[in-house]
Amino acid sequence: MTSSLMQINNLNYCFPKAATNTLKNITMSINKGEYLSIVGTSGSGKSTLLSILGLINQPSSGEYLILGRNTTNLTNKSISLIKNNEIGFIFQNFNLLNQFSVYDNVALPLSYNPAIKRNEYKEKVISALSLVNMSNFQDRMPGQLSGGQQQRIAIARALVNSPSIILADEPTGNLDSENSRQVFELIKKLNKTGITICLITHDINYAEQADTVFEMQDGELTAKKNTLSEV
Amino acid sequence: MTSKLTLDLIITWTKQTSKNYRLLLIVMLLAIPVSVLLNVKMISSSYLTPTYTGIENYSLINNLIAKEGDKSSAIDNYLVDPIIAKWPSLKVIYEESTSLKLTGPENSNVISVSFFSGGYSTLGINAFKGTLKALEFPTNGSDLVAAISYSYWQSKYKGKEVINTILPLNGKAVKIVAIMPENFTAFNKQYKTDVVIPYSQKLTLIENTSNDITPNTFSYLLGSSQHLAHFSLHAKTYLSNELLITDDIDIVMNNAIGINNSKYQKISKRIDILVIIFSILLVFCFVSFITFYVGEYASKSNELSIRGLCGASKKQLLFQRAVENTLLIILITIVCIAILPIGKMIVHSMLPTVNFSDVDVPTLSFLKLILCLTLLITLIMAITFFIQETFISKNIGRGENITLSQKLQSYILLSFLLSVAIVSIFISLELLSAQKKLNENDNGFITNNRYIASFELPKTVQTQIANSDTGKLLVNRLENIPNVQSAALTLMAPFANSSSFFQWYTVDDHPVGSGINSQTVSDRVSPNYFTAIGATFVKGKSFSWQSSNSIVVNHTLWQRYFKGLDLYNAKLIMKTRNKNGVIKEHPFQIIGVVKDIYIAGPDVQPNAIVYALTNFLVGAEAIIIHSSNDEKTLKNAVTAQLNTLDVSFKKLELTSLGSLVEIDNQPRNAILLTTIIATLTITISSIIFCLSTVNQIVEKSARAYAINKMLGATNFRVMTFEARFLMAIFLPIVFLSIFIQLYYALQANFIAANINLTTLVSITITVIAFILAALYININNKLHNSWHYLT
Ligand SMILES: Nc1ncnc2c1ncn2[C@@H]1O[C@H](COP(=O)(O)OP(=O)(O)O)[C@@H](O)[C@H]1O
Ligand SMILES: [Mg+2]
Repeated sequence: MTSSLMQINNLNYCFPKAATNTLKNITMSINKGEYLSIVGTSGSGKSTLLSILGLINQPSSGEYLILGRNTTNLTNKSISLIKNNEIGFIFQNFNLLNQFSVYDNVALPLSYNPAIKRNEYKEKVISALSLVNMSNFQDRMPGQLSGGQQQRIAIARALVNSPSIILADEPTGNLDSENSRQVFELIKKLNKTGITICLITHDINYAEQADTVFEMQDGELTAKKNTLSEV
Repeated sequence: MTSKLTLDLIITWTKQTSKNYRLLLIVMLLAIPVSVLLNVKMISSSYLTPTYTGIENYSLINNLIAKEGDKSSAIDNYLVDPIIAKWPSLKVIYEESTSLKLTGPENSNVISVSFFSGGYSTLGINAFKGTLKALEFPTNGSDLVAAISYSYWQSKYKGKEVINTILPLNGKAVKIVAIMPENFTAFNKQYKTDVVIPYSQKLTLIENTSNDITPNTFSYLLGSSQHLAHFSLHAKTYLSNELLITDDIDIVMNNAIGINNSKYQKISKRIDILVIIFSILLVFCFVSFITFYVGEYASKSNELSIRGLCGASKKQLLFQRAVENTLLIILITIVCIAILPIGKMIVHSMLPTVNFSDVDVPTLSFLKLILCLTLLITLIMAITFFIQETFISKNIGRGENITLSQKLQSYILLSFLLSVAIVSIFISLELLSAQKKLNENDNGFITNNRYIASFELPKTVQTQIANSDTGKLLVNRLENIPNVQSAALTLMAPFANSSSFFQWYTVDDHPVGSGINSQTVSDRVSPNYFTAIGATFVKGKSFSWQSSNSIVVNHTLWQRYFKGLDLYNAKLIMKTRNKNGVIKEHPFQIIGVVKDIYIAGPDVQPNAIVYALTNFLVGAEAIIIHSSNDEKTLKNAVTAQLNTLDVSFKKLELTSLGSLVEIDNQPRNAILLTTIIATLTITISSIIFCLSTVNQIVEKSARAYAINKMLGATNFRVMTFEARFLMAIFLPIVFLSIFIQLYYALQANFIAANINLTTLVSITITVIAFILAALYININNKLHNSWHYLT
């Protein structure tokens, strides 16, 4: 069995109604436990690539295998299940629900996980919150937290279903340097526990700390650094 | 979907909703008109579908009324054949409730009898015992038959076998052939009938009567709803074109059974007003509800997309919408049910004459009520969903800047809501002025120091005092009481709902009061009646105890038959029928015309009335007393005086006229108050809505304004630009919407045809001025710190 978690072969992606391909002939693989980062200029297609990896968009052509299964053959239901069980998302603007408490925000993915019973919610939420050092804040509303704290709540929500991979799209874009440092430390710590990380960032210093660094340019992907590559 | 997800969704929804005060407020606002309208529905349906008749098929019977001016009666016999000739599938039936003497050996009780033509099988009235076949339109001269009521059977016969036994009635032998169904009380709401007898046997049973209809006769039309509708559409034309019946007579139909038409009109008018006020409120709340619901969509769709990222499938998201909408429906239903008693209170305050214990809530079953609500709210959901899916989901942009379509949508909703507000304020103002006019109406009498005394005269003594001058004696005695200015007798006391009829004709033999039958409303009064009640004379004066050939008429009668004439030339003929059916004519001279006296309240136009001298007591009189004594002293003095007469009076009751007027005014004041509250609610919430919409739009457009200003536009130019954009949407929508609403309001007779344009235009201009002012002030505030929006 291959240790590849996600495998992309000759993938193209074109937004509906767009003239040219946003992603051009991309081939890449993400291994289990890998810490991978993607850098590139704004508009080069990083977020678009992440949306394909996160099963939000379907490739226009080419192949995308997740845990060895070809995604083009997956039903909507299994796509949702994979998103729920295997993938955690983190965004620049946190994407928390402001009218929900911290606890309810973190518990949100549990509702869609058939493996978890209601009486396990509390334990799951608390353990996710303590991973990000926020267990004292479960009754707060997101509006009552700082940006760094909000992002940590978002990370806790991404972690609550114990995913295989975390897809992070410029998670520190809205944070000051101290908070950014904390978030990167947290991500690194999570990778140490075995979670695969795919991180988009502008911050080249933090990007360099990843096992693998890709650079995206005009929809094309080139490898910059490949410490763990078997290829 | 799993029960886990369902439970999660319910818990989350409950948490969110309990914090959402605006939603709760709007649900409350929606529930109030719904609950009032439900109450109105219950009342009118229990009023219009009287279960007391035992009729199952209400849709097959309509009350048939001949209406001339303000007088309503059953239609005359001679019209029946022509109607049936033209509409062979219809049947005309008559009903008359009266009292008759039992003539059995053991007792001579008076029992309540209802003469009813037939149609039992059509109406679905099934005998409890025996068969009603013999009562279905028997021919003249057939054996006398009767059906007795269930309660009469229980009380009189103690439930023993009675079918085919003989009931001695009015000296005749009547065969009991059936027992009416248990739920039958009477065909007339004011009676409790013991015995039902075919209408065609009335003449056989009671001699010396004519077949003429009486004020107590009801006529009904029986047939399928299509045929009834066809008749209702074409009857008037047919009667006037082919039967040459005068144009003054109108044939009208209503759904009430056994209810006097004028009472029906009064109640249905009030129900109409209630329906208007609360329909307006409902439409308004409906629009605000949709607006609110649509407004929530932005945050809702954000939530749904985040849930999608967390692994919710499309199906699960759709399921969430369904769960949330169902919960909202349940919430609204619960609030509506909780508010129902308030609605009942409101309705009750306006319809005090409707006996609310009659209103049968379980008949309109609880399930039906919830179903109605669910349908209504599902409709709201469907509309909202449609709006959301077609207009809004595409508008959710990435940035803070408001898109053109968002602005367009906000302005369209605002325009629509304000147009509803304009029309509702307009209609409310019209209603208010109409009600105010009624309250200020000159009743034609004075309430100050006026009292009404009613009494009962035992039936046995009635004949003793006939032809004696007890009336005069009584009045004289009463006027001798200290501090009594005047006392008078009348057959038609104010607010007593009693009326008396005689047959009056003009000298050229024109019947007075109605062209179909000559039942003229005629009061018998003592000479100082007009002084006692405080009525004023337009012409002439009252009669004296001696002038037994003089009469006074009211202004309505005078205007109708003697307009422009001198009193000297004004005469009326009274016709009476003696025991052998011979008609006798008595000429009377009109010596006075009195201003109309509104004895049934300002909203009931008085009939043409003849006032004639009462020379003896018949026992149905009331006494009007003008006295500066207080109520208690007066009552004691009157009782004492009545006891000095050799006739025994019973059950003396004294009421001040002022308190009766107050009771009559109560529903009008309640309507007034409700209208004011409804108008205020609408006005205030539209102001709030208007301000918040303008504020939101200006807030979201602040950057654009700031850029314009930076590029050199003056504050005024920026404001004018926005105002022009708003007005370009606002004016056409508002005008079109007002036009459509008024059109339907006119169609439904909600407003008078002569629309008060000045009021309408002033309201519209005020609203436009308000919204422009709000816009200008808001933009101005934003432009003061425009730099903030650029950095
Ligand atoms: N919904 C969309 N429709 C069409 N084009 C889009 C859409 N979203 C992004 N793009 C285009 O795709 C390209 C890549 O965008 P994105 O992946 O967001 O870049 P990055 O995240 O690297 O800054 C950009 O040129 C952008 O304009
Ligand atoms: Mg991006």
